Amino acid sequence: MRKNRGREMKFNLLLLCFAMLASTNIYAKTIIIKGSSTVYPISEAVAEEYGKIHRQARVSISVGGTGSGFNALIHNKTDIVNASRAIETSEIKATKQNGVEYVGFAIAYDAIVIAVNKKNTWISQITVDQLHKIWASGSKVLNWKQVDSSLPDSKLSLYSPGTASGTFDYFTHAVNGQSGLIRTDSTRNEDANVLVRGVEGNTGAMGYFGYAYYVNNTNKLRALAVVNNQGKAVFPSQKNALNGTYNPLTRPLFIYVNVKKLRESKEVQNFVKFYFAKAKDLAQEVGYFPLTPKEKEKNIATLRNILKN
Amino acid sequence: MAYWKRKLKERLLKIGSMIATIISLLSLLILLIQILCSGTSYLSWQFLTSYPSRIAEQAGIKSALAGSFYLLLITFIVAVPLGIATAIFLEEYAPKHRITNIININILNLAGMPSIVYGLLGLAIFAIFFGFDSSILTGGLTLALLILPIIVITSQEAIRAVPDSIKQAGYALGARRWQVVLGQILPAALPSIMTGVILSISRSIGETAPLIIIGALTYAGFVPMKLTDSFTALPIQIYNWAGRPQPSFHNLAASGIVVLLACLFVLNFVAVYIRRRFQKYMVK
Repeated sequence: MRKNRGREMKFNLLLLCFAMLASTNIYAKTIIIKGSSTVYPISEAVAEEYGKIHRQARVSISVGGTGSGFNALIHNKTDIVNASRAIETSEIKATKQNGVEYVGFAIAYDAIVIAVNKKNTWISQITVDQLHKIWASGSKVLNWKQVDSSLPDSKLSLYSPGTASGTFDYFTHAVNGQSGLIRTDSTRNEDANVLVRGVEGNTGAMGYFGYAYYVNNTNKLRALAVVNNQGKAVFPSQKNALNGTYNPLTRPLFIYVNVKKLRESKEVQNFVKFYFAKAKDLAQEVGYFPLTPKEKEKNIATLRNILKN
Repeated sequence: MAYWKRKLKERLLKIGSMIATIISLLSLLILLIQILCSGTSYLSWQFLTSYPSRIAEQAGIKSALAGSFYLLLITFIVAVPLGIATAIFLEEYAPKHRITNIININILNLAGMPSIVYGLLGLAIFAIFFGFDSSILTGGLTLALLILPIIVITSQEAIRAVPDSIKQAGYALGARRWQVVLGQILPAALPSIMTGVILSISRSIGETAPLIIIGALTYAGFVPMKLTDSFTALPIQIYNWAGRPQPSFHNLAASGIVVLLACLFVLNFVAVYIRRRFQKYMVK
């Protein structure tokens, strides 16, 4: 009896393996999304809502950074790229070489927040020049006194996202003029929560990360106002990000769609249309700022034009 | 004088090892309590049967749990026969000379290699060379590679521990080598082998780095149905939730960890059970 049961179990196991091997694709095409971890929460929310309406739809999202998303686009391995920065010239060249057509849409905005410790009472605003002085590649600024002689003698410790993040790319470009160019002796972590904890626990700390990480931790840290190109000190907020005054640290977030896949697949078309329709509410829900209605209309028009041709 | 000194040494060792035990147990306990405190709030049947969501209350680990289960299955089917067969060859058939020695040392080294290296290997061989892409097959095969050396080593140890008298008796009765290996050595060594296998398998379900390298998904609104499907796994889901800005997602991550710990506990329990049960048949 026992022997029989064992045999039966083995048989069932075998059956399961065969079923996995042999089952044909009864589902619709899987929509493949790859790229940035910053844009991921918006795409996840859209995919979730899309799945509620289209029960048979299969949406997959993988996170590997904006760069790896574009790399997948170049090799035609993805339908949509989550991107927290615009596509770079080298990447444009590579898509052309491989004959891959794409179209980019801004879908939301994010503000990069300059955060300091709650106990830091000596500074409330900072200029881009000061930021550059602190964060420049090879900078020797280790004390707040070196930033400005009026500031107290307190050790400055720096917290930065890791090199794979789009936040890092955008910040280095905006502050140091070239993406990726930055001093190397700061504490780096891909997980912005670690940066939050670092700034929270260190009186002389300064860190930068996306707005969502600030707004969920306002009891733990303080944001600095950034002096913009009109010489006005502006705090990060939805209003200031959308009216363009929180510059240069407001950045657009994108999706890049593979045009060939878009034309071939009704599923991808439906998903992108759904994305545009829902982006406003869902982006806000997960901690980002929505597009203006005008920008949304522009996206829809662009999509319509591509599908017409 | 000498007596006093010896007694002191005795005491020192006793107290020292006791302190070490307390420190390791205490840190484990703190970790467990912390996770249980923040992890139980979202733990429910719905958590196990829902797909990931932007709303913490509705989020679940269905796709991750299914992915982890299928990974486990593939890893088991591939790694166990390969590992045990390798151990049998190295212990019973391979001539004992320099080259076998070098191979043995290398297997030991492989067992200590960081898992991310296996991820890169899996990406190069299974995903790109064989063209399996970021499928669950690639994931399972990569994890199988990861635990293969551990299975080989524990199986070798188990085979070595089988008393020589059993082997000699087999040969004395005129049995062939394969008959001795399959009929005598393997059954006697099986409990220890299975313990090693289950412990290494439970290591594999906690692995994140190699899966991220081979391109496993973070969001999957579906359960993998065939070997070429893309997939997500429990550790990846936990990793993603832990990195979110909202504190409620950190609790969600803790709930995921509780589920993962429960799986590990069950696996380890099975290992202990197998050992107890089959040891009865072993010749003492």
